[in-house]
Amino acid sequence: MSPTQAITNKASAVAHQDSVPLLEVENLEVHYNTRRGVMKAVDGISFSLKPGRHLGLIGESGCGKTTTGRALLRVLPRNGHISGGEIRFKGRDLVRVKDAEMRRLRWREISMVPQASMDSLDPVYRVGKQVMEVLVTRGEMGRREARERAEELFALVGLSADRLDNYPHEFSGGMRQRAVIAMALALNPDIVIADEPVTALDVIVQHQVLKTFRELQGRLQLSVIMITHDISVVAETCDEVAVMYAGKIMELATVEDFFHDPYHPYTLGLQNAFPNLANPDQALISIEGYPPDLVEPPNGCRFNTRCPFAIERCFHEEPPLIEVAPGHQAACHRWREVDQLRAKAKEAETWQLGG
Amino acid sequence: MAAGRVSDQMMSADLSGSSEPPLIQVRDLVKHFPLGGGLLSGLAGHRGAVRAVNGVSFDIKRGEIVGIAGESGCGKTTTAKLLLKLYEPTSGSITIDGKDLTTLKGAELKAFRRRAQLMFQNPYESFSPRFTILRAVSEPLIIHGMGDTAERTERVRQALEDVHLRPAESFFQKYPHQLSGGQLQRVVLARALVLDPDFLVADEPVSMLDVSVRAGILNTLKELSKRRNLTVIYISHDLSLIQYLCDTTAIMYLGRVVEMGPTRQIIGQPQHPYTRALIATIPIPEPNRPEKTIPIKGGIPSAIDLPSGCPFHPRCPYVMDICPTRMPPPVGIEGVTVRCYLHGGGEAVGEAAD
Repeated sequence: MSPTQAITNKASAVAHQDSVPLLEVENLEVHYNTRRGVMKAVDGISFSLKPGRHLGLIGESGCGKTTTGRALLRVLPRNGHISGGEIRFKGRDLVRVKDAEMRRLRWREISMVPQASMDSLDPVYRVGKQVMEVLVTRGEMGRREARERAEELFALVGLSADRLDNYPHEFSGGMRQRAVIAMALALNPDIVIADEPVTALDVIVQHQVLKTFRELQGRLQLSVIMITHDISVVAETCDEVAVMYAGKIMELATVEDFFHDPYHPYTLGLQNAFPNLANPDQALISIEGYPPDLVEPPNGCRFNTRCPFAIERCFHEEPPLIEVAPGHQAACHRWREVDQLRAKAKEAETWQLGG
Repeated sequence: MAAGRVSDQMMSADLSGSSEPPLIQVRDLVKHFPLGGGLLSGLAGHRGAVRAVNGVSFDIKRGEIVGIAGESGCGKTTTAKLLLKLYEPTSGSITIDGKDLTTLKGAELKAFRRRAQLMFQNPYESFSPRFTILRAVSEPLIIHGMGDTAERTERVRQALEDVHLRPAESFFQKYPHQLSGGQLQRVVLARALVLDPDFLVADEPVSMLDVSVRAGILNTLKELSKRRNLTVIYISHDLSLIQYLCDTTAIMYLGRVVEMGPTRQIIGQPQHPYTRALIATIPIPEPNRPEKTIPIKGGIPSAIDLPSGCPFHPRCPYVMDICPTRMPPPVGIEGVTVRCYLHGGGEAVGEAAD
């Protein structure tokens, strides 16, 4: 079977089981051992990913989004470990499968475009050789077959086949990023985890790379977990969004509901803070303060120190992530007052703390 | 160089002819960085240069916030460094308050260093970890020999209050690692303002910060510019932020300002094909927007082998016969100045071309 056929077959097989999640994460906890104590970087998060869908994991630095992505592949830094929960994928629990099984699964079933990976291509080898290495060592292909597949992968991400013989320095940033995406797609995985794939790129190139992701979704039924701090990247590429804050998921919604019907005050704040070129009269409002220390997380809601709507209950009782509308979850005690909160959140004075 | 040509080359948002003289006047500014003379290339006589800035002219008024935008390698940071006299221009001139920057020496140069300040991109690398905030913000005052300890402390207190680090005294004895990125960037701003400068160059000052705190820094910059009549030159690749902050915007491409004018005009009705492409690619935080097609092709050419004529012509969907022959002259249209033959200027060149 040629690689093209393999792609088509996978796509049609997947189309039949549209509603069954491909990946289900339940109560995932990831801890880091630090000198100061145990840091609860990811603290009991649950979400699922359906076949062919793009899920955005968004939040600010230190919220646990990258840790979540790495935990799914069990490629955590040495001082980090999964300390609880389940990652169900094709009838297995990835938290508990043996290392050998996990190794077999990486690249083939779940692959990753790590942060700043466009700078990780080896400068002394031709780009094509590096792509083929994955195909030969991980995919057990012969050299000729690997070369054909590499050409096909380059075409898939919009690079011409003769570029396989170039060295990384002969590529622009956007081309290197596409080569890295081609490598992640090399063994036809079900899921690609992309960590800030366009952050270092100029806007025109960024646009082209995001477009590549959208096209792949249509052509390969590829499922993507897009890790980003940028809500406009989510708007342009994702179907669903999980908003993370201090190791927790605060809101989980379709991209439409995230933008048009947000519930969590943190989401409201993020939208206020984000500039929109299409709306020149928008006043930007920041969320004062900074996220809590995850070695000693505060009681109650993690967002309570920055939330303008926090009431006493928010300081001692943690709000659970519950369904607030069909297919839409949020973790806020005051979700029933959302209309009022949304109106107040639009006023800059609301967000001035310590006043 | 003839005076006529100078005024002919000028790019400015201000076509109305306001009476106040500009604070900064840049004319035909060029900066080339010679490539390292390797032995072989030296022997072969090939010695190229990175042509970072290739004839930039504009005026900036006092109190104005001007955005300089463009992709990496467009020359925006080099232009900023030339304005601060951190580089010497290869040719062309910069006048600040009527004084030629290239000729400044001694006391005059030191005075200039006080009037012009820079805000760096990365607040985490802007401080010595061993200095308290009080010491770090006092540093410029010490260097310029201003005031005694009590006076300096008072100025630091005022500067910290101005950037909304309140109460200022609570930050005096803190060390950089005890502050968040957003707070540190406010300290950077306080340190730039403590000398009461006339203009501030901010090079991507919020790109390292979390989205949730960026707005606060921008709002503070805006407020300070208004209150102190401070001129701000804001360098960024992010047009959404420039739209929010800047009165005037200049779009750079391969060392040239291709379009400059009031920000609303530049973003709402871009005239240059490059500006149009740039704006069309900015992601918008709204779902389900119609797919945009960007007609331009390829990437930015190398600044070592610049395309002839208009540097954008190899990627331009509207390229005409005239474009590779000569850089289009500035043309005023709809309140902006644009350098593109689509908007005229071809007639004169047709006659003058060799």
